[in-house]
Amino acid sequence: MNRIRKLQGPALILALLALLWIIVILVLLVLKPSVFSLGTVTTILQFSTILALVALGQAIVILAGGAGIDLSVGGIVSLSAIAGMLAMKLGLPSFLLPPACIIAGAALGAFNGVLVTKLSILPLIATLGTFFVYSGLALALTGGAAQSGVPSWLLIWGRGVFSGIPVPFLTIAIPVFAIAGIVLMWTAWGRWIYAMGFNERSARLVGIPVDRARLILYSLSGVLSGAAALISLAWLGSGRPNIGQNLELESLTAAMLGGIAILGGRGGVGGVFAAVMLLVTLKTGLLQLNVNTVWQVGIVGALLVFVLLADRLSQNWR
Amino acid sequence: MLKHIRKALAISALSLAVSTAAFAQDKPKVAFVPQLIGIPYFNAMEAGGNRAAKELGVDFIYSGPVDTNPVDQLQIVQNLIDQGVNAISVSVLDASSIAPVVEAAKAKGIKLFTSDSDAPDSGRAVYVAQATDEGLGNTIIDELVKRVGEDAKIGIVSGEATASNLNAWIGFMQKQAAAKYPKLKLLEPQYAGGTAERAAQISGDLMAANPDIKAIIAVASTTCPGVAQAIETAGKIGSVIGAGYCSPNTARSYLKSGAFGFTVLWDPAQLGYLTVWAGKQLIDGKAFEAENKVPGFDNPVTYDATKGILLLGPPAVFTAENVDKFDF
Repeated sequence: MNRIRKLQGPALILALLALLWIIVILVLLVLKPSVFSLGTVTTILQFSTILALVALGQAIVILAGGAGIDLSVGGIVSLSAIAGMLAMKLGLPSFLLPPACIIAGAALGAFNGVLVTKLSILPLIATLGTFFVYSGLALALTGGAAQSGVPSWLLIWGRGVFSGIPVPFLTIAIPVFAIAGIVLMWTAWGRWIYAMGFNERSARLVGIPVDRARLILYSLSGVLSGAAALISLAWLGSGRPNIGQNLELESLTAAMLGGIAILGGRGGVGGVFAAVMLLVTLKTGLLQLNVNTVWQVGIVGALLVFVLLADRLSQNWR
Repeated sequence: MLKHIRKALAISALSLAVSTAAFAQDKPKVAFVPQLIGIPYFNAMEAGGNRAAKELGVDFIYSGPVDTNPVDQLQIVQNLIDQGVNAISVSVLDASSIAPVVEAAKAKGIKLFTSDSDAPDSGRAVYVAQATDEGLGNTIIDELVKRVGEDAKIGIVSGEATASNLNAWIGFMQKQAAAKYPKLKLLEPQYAGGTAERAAQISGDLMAANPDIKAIIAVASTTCPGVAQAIETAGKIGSVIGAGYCSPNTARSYLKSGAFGFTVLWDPAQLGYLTVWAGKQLIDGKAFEAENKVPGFDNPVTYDATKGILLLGPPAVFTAENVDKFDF
């Protein structure tokens, strides 16, 4: 018990999330042993993939401080998916669909970055604005209709399962998280991000190109959302103008739950990954137990308050 | 610490024993996944489903998303498949998204079918239809023309822009208007999402922008109160009439105040009943016949084998005169 009390920051959050995750699993095991099959694992990972990528983008933007937040991620996912499909309808060769989605995401993210860094608009307001612009544009371009015609080779990748693990999760989510973790922990780049989140003024004084770095981070968040859009296409077989619905708040919840400090400079991608897993496992578990979905929203909220409270209290103990 | 763990283990073992005892009954399970929970329409379907479950001897599971998000709905369906529910019916939010789960269900030998809203090319086992989309679209236009005449401007307020059933009805309204009433002018449909407030705002704007508008059609059941409220607030009762696909309980006060001329719908409780009945037939491996006798139904239920559609019956028109005979 004492050892847990000594944990702080990311380590405490990770321990807490792991503990909560084990509790969820145990409760499930007791109430419904039949849940535990490879199929359930596949389901959880399948529904985690998109959220994990978007939450990672959200996390790095918040981590870099300057009141950074990206409320437009859901809009970017919707619009990149639609942009890719429409480009293909206009004659883009189908093998260019993956880069098209990712480039669209990068461009939309970069636009956020320009608003925030060059025009100095508060990120909350800038990305709230672009959220409405992007998701509105996705609906307007399609009239609300789903865009079919995803090439079948992409479906093989998107719906494939390799020893219980969905292929998109294996080939995109895991590598991306590994790279992000390594960059943040062991490179100068990673240190810069923490430094500018922790104290922007000092970061500028020691010569870190804060604005340029931030612009790149917003673009990266866009790239990750574009990748999420691509996965949604490959998995569902059609581009839907509202596919990114609710992702902005869910990704924010995952980032906060994962121990990213809202003011930046503190937290790690491991926590974000654990938080995504916990959220999706919890949701799956409640669904398997046929708990009314109305309750699930409240339970996720209560969980967020609880974890943040634990984090807060641990700082007071110091 | 160890003591705690031992205690926890003992408790879990105990509850495991209790829960297995509780789950020991072996009735076939039929699930229905609505587009949205907590609205009267799907509540009525749930009630009908529960009644059928009791009478037909099956377990009925009712679970749906809290807002109209197709991925959330997909996740619920996927989890029902993982649970091994015998038959799953879905009121599809987005026809294209259902394809992956249909495959997953087939792989596990689960009967997946649609009810209330269809996904025609998904490979579903059957579609339990409330009424044909064509019948619904035509009825509302025909009834409106009876009231406002052929030379009229009519607004359309729908729910989600992506809901396939709503879009199909709008399509048939436009077709019927173009084919039978060339002078009728249908405005571009407006989408209010799931809220009545937004529908009220849109309807208010429609009336302000088109002073000569004669009627507004509320396509989604959630938009009816908004449209009616807007007509009442604007003081246009008598000069603009509302109409739509909403339940008698939702529309009763508006039908009586005159803000609504009529509504077109079916009985969702019967639809819920028929859905569970169809699930039971599929589980039992019984084929549908061209005309099926369903307990509690006055008329036999028709089945269209080429399209795979089980049809509840013709749509009903509710007006101020007959609305009190219904309660849903």
